[in-house]
Amino acid sequence: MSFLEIKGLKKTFSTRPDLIARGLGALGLRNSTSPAVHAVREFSASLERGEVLGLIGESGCGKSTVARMLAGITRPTAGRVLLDGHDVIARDTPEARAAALDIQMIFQDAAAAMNPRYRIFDIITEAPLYHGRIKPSQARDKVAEVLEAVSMSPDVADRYPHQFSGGQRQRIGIARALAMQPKLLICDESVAALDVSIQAQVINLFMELREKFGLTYVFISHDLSVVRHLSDRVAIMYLGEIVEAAPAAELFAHPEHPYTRALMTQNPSLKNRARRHAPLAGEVPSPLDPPQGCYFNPRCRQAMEVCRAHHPALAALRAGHEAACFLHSTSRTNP
Amino acid sequence: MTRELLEISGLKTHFFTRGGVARAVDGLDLQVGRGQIVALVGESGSGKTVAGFSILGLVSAPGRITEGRILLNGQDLVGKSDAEMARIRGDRIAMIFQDPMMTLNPVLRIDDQMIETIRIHDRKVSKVEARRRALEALREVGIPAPEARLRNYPHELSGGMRQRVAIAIALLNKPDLIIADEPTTALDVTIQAQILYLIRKLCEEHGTGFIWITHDLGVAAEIANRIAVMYAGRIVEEGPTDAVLDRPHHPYTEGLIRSLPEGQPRGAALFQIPGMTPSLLNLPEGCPFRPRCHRASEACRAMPPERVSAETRFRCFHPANAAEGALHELS
Ligand SMILES: Nc1ncnc2c1ncn2[C@@H]1O[C@H](COP(=O)(O)OP(=O)(O)OP(=O)(O)O)[C@@H](O)[C@H]1O
Ligand SMILES: Nc1ncnc2c1ncn2[C@@H]1O[C@H](COP(=O)(O)OP(=O)(O)OP(=O)(O)O)[C@@H](O)[C@H]1O
Ligand code: SF4
Ligand SMILES: [Mg+2]
Ligand SMILES: [Mg+2]
Repeated sequence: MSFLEIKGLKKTFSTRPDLIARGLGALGLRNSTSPAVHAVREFSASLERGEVLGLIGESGCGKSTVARMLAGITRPTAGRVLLDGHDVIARDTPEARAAALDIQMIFQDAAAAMNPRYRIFDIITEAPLYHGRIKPSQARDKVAEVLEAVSMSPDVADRYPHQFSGGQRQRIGIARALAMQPKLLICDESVAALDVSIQAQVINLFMELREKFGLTYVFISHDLSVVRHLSDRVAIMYLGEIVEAAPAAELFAHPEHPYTRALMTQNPSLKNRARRHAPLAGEVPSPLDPPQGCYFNPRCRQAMEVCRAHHPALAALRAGHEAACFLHSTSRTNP
Repeated sequence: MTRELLEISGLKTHFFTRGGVARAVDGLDLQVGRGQIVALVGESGSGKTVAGFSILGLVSAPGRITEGRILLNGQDLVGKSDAEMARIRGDRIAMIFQDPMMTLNPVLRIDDQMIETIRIHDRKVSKVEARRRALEALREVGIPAPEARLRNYPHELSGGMRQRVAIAIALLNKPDLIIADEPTTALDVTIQAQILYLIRKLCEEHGTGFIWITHDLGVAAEIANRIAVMYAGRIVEEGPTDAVLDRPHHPYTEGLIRSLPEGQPRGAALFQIPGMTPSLLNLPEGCPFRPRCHRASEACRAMPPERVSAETRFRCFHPANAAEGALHELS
């Protein structure tokens, strides 16, 4: 069994129509029933200790929902997450409850997740004190230790979040997660908002922490070159499910799903000057109303008859490389 | 001499705060030609947004333009009244924000807002004609089923579609110049590619000049004819895209490019520009990049003048990728 086993994770939200939609509904201008959003239809993956799983996909395809389920913030509709063999969703044993705390999340906007009236010291120690991961007498040392791990001086502990730059606040957010002594870090767009030069600092920091503490990561980003740089394995999501997964080097060298290929050719790159070829047409479909067959078929240049009728299943193309696409004979149906 | 569409010279926009004077834009020179796309890149807080707002006449207290000229088609925008600037905005100049909801009104249908935008600038256009032009603009930005979309409210559209509607609105009155501030940062790669393609095409077809503010050098590489790099309120390097990216002279530009993961071996430590963005209230004397610069010398305690090479202009005493003899002081 792998260090992290994610099995058949699913999340369905029953939406409450937003205020405007409800208003229009009340006026009879639109119907206002509450449809179900299949935010995550099926997500399975496994990861060894010290590995990094990169997660890529279009806006709204369910990446953050997966992250929040792993971090125990959102309860899955179905599925299991095993960390070191302990079920961190059910949390039915003391070991499993402890294992759940071994998973920590770092948000896109670290500053938004900090109370502006708390000093850095309190921001870092609040959760580990509450969960009994450290004793009050150890708090000072712990803060100094985690600040040092993110290359900041212990003096900053007495300052407030607004006194720091974006990159520094992001590092403080990481220090706070480290104070819980996690084994698995979930990073949801943790470098997206950062300047290029600060982004390099934070990426280097993630790599150092992995060396030093043997941390395992799930790393979500829409920047393909960042994911390629950091990840051992990569999963590509589209509309709530994985459409391709492989070791990072293999995936970037031999992408097999047409969506993955589109991502790679359209990723902005310093090498693509004044590019002229026409982009992928069409809109990302809504999870409220997915197209029949393969969800990617309306945008796929290679779509065939079968793609409009049947939904392709994720299937192994070769060792460790899976894709869900009828172009590959292994991907037989799943209507 | 051919006259550029936009010629900014010596622009200073300062904020008079209680903590002191923040020189957000402090001597900016920039030209944009017709049909040309200029990417304005640089550190967070270097003054990119303030520069864009200065052109649009949208700087408000405690900030104001203290010096310089902004010539649009030869006409100086500095010193124009608010009413005159309001007329120029959306008529000759338009803005696209990172968040399309800065442009869109959540309680108005798309057709109503587009028709209003057209008729505010020209009362003589009939409603029917304005609707036809709105439809045409949506079609141009690649919105599928535009007739149906016209009747939608903004919240019924996806993020990428909303941004395209905001772009369509910016195009409605066929402005000479469009300023876009991080317009695709929140979008994913495939939708971003659609928008980049569209804007490039529009600039070529309509001769619209474009200033694209971004911190994504990959996007700048793809879309821009020229790149201007800002640091602490000034342009520190400017030139054709290929020259700036392949043969950067300014150590800051060089550092930015080197710090990208692209092209690096997987897992290798990335280059980091040392130090922090300086506070505008407390800039180091001389070259503002000096405390972070690996090429700095005593000479850098003075402000470097603008210099030119065969392709680019830049402000640095010790440029990278340059044979000293090929460089000239700009008098
Ligand atoms: N609490 C919620 N209630 C209803 N729907 C939700 C909720 N949270 C997420 N969704 C929906 O679930 C889908 C997946 O959302 P999610 O935030 O996981 O996407 P994402 O891949 O992280 O997107 P992005 O790249 O934009 O962050 C979206 O359609 C979203 O609207
Ligand atoms: N209303 C204001 N009062 C005081 N200072 C201001 C004001 N608006 C902007 N500034 C200052 O002007 C400087 C330039 O800001 P600007 O928003 O132009 O940066 P930017 O280059 O667009 O950065 P980013 O990439 O983060 O958007 C900043 O240091 C900012 O603090
Ligand atoms: S299954 Fe068909 S439609 Fe889907 S990605 Fe493959 S070829 Fe395209
Ligand atoms: Mg998300
Ligand atoms: Mg800005």
